[in-house]
Amino acid sequence: MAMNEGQPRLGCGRIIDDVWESIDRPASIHERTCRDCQSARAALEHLEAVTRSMRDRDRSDPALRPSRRVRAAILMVARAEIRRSRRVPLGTTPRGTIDISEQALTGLIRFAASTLPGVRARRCTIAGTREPQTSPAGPPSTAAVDGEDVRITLTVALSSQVRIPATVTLLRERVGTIVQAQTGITMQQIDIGVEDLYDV
Amino acid sequence: MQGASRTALATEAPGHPAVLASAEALDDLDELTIVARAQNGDVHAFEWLLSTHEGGVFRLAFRMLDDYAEAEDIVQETFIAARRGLPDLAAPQAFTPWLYRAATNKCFNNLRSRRRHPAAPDSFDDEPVPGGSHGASAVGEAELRNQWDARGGGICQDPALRYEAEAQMQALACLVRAVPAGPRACWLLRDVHEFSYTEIAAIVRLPESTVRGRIARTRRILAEGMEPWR
Repeated sequence: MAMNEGQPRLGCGRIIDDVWESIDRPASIHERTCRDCQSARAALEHLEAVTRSMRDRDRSDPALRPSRRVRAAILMVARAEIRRSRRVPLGTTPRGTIDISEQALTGLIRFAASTLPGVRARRCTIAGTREPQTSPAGPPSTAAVDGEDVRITLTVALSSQVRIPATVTLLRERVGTIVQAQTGITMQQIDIGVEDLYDV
Repeated sequence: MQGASRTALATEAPGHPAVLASAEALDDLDELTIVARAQNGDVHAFEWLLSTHEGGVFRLAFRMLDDYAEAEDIVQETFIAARRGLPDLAAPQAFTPWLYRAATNKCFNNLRSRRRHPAAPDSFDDEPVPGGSHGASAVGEAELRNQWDARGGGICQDPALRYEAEAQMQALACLVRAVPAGPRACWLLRDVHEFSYTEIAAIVRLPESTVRGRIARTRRILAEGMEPWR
């Protein structure tokens, strides 16, 4: 059969797509009397049944999954690349500077946020208060962050059951407290963006 | 670490199970939140996306390329490229079609490369491939299934019914291989991976009307090919 761009039609003039779209419904008056439609419908119903069987079988078939080696290779590359993120200095000792990776800090901030019921932390960016504002969705800055001058921007989804102003205030306090306790960093500014509400 | 005198603190904290597991399980979150976290460099979130989608991407690639090793390569290339491209994904809600778009493109590139090396020809848009794209492909899939069955993984049912069902699925797989790659991708994305027509149009970058036409023609070819089994 030629694979031209026009929709294939049955002898009665109907397009195959229309027969397929109505395959889950009882046959129409036309379909009950039209031999072309009856034949097409029976053929498509059979195809749909075998396709469904193949789809369900393939999904549960361990032979049709990539090996663990592939997964390990992907994660190894991902972890190696993420480790190259910026670092935030925490303090200086006689043996050198202690710092924390930006990824570790954003992980801690997401953790702090998730300790509040009804809060799902999404993206977090870290910058100095003197750096230009960047969107959490935008490309990360490459400049080093001054540990004395940290501003974070955190986007969250909130449960539709919580009061937004009170939760945002609590969230700001919780993030500031946990980050200060775990790293010694006192954040100068914590911007919270509520970008979504979810139903419980 | 930036220098020998610096001491890294909690470098692995974002991906450390003890940190995240104590707060929440990713399975309890919506995919939009998980995609956003993966965009933010959270390895745990990326790993969740990998677990969720690696099987689907593999099955699409396997049905497109009919080669286990090449399908694995597509999975690896797709997810590594996806992780790098995630921060630039403007619409996180479109993550899944975006991922499959990358995988589909890589499959097309692989098939174009085969056409440049005609030892293994594969029709792309118009001409059906007689007998499937690879002569040995059916054997390859059958071998995979036999290995699984030998380990006791097969579905337990009446042997005669099971044989017939298996034979029909093998016949369908063979027919799918004979469909040109462009329509084959559209059909797989719709009837096997259950994307909407709009999503498929975005994945293959074609008008929705073209996608509908390709899928309808592929269904007709496959339905006619399955006639002897009815």
